[in-house]
Amino acid sequence: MTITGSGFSAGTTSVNAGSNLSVSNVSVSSSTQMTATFTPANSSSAGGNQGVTVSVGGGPNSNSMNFFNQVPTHLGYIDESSTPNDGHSSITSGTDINIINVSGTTLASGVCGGYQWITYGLADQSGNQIKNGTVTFNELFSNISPSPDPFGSPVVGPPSSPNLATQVLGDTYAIYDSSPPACPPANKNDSFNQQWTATVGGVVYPLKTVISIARSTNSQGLPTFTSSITTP
Amino acid sequence: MKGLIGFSVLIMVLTVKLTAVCQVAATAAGELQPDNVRIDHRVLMGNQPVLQIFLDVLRGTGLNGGFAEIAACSDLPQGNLKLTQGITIREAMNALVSANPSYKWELQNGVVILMPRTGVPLLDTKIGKFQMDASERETSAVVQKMLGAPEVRLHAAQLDLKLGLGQGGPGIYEEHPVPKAPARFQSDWDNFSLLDGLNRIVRTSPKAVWIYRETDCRNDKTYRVEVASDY
Repeated sequence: MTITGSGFSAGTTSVNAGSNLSVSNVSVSSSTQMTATFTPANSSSAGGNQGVTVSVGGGPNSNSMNFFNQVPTHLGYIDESSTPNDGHSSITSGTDINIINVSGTTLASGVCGGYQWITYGLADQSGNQIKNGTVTFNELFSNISPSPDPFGSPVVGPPSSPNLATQVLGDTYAIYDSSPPACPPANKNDSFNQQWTATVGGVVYPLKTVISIARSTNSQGLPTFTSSITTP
Repeated sequence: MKGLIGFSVLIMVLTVKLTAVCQVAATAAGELQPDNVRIDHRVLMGNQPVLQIFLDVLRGTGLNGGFAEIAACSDLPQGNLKLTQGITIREAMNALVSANPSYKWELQNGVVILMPRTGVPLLDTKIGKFQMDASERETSAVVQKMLGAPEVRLHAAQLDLKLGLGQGGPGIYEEHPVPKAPARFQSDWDNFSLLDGLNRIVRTSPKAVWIYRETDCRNDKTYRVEVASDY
């Protein structure tokens, strides 16, 4: 952070940013300009405006200026070239297809089933899209129905860590049988809710967004997927 | 983008933290090893799935890994781990199994493996021969083909294990992908274990990790194996 003002003096100027921000590397470059490093507390409640004051030579604090601490709070569908329908791709299905995930990796070749890609943008507490840094996302499932699930309960996948400057979080809905020519069970369905956490700098931020997902198969065992954000 | 407003870049502390997370581990020349690779970030995991903890340790190191777990229904094994930035992978893995004593870790052919201390019988399956010609973007498909080997199917049946349906999962979408021909590899392997085969497969792709998950739910035992590289 660069702080401008007047009367700064090397070695005698301190910065106070409250309990939610720790201050380090204070460096005065001139009587009107200084820099400092702010590190947020390891708490998802440390977001929002944080008052910052400067003191010189142990004197009184300056007036307070707000520093906005951005924290991730929710996801939204984001259209990409392969997911142009409100962040959804079309569904690909067949009895002898390759299953490709949203990262472009072939999960299985020559199998029976189907898949769909979803893409998400991450937003902060003010609704602004976060477009920098690497964030690790983890998914959670709840309200799985029916029990037992005819497709097997949804499996929590490994984390995904996009660099938000050039990448976005993606998800692949898929149901396929890895033992061709077998197909998934016909005329079955299930539903569940999906939520995510975003981890930055070791701090886990639970995201508010709830996504409702339903999966079903037709008489051939080929799947379709429907999903929507029920809690933004 | 629906529900999100604007694209303003905010210069804030989060940026500082995010940048720190992106630092790439410095490694010695030559093969990556647990003693010469250090983790470049803090690990603060409390009551998190063990898989997430393991991948958080490996993140940014470039090391290949393998993970196996056996769970009941939808309850994923949970664990804890707190590590400071800069310790070696060996120190981190020792701390991980110390904090989660039902697991053991070992290094096999350059692959860092975390699995239940009691072992995973299906991974000991002996496979007589396996041939494959694939690219690094097809490692998951290669794994599925290996699971279709007669020896694996027979051993799985003896263990009363069924191969679960594939279900996809989280990933990374490149907004502006750079066209690049993926590296290809050929396999012509004889007399190896399924565990060794999985290790060989992930070693064809930087930082790839194989993940074996077995679920015993109401006497319905299923297993799945996938490969992660976007963690």
